[in-house]
Amino acid sequence: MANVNMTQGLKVVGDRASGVAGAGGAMAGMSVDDNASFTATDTNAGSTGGAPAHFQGNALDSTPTGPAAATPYVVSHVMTLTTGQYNTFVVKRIGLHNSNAPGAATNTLMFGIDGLALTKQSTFSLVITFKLSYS
Amino acid sequence: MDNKVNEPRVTVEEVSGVIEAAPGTTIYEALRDAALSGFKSIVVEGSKATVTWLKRS
Repeated sequence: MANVNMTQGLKVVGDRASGVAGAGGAMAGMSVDDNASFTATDTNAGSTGGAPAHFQGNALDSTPTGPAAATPYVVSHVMTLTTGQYNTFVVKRIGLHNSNAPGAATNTLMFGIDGLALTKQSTFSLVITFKLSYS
Repeated sequence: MDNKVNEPRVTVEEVSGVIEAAPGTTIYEALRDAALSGFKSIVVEGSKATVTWLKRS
């Protein structure tokens, strides 16, 4: 299992913080799929391993809220896979996107974690929390 | 003089999931169906189970 900071994601964070013209959008969506791993240079879910056999991208449940200033400063991003989504497929990767409609080929992949194994079924919903730390 | 410099960085701090059993299903049935592996911890409470895949602190 490994977490990956995509270089694309670091650029978006830095550009937004410094007010660079044309900065990419904020984190707005999350995805799950069954490819094996991420790479730091990935821009979309198909960058490593090709188009995933199974993919589900959703908007975040709500706009993230910022806690009180702290070191490190941690922001939570939450997304729900409903009882009707991604059923019978294995969640191997989770991706954080700067789009509220992330697709398998949209270049919106900012951060990710791989090496997971959870078989989604209709007998449960799954609420994923992806926390980023700024320090 | 302390030459230590704080290096600003963005880090994936924690990734977790809450499995909530659908009506008519126990959390244990849901966990059986999930066939989990590759996680750091799991806490079951009522009809929910919190699975932690990554946690730095």
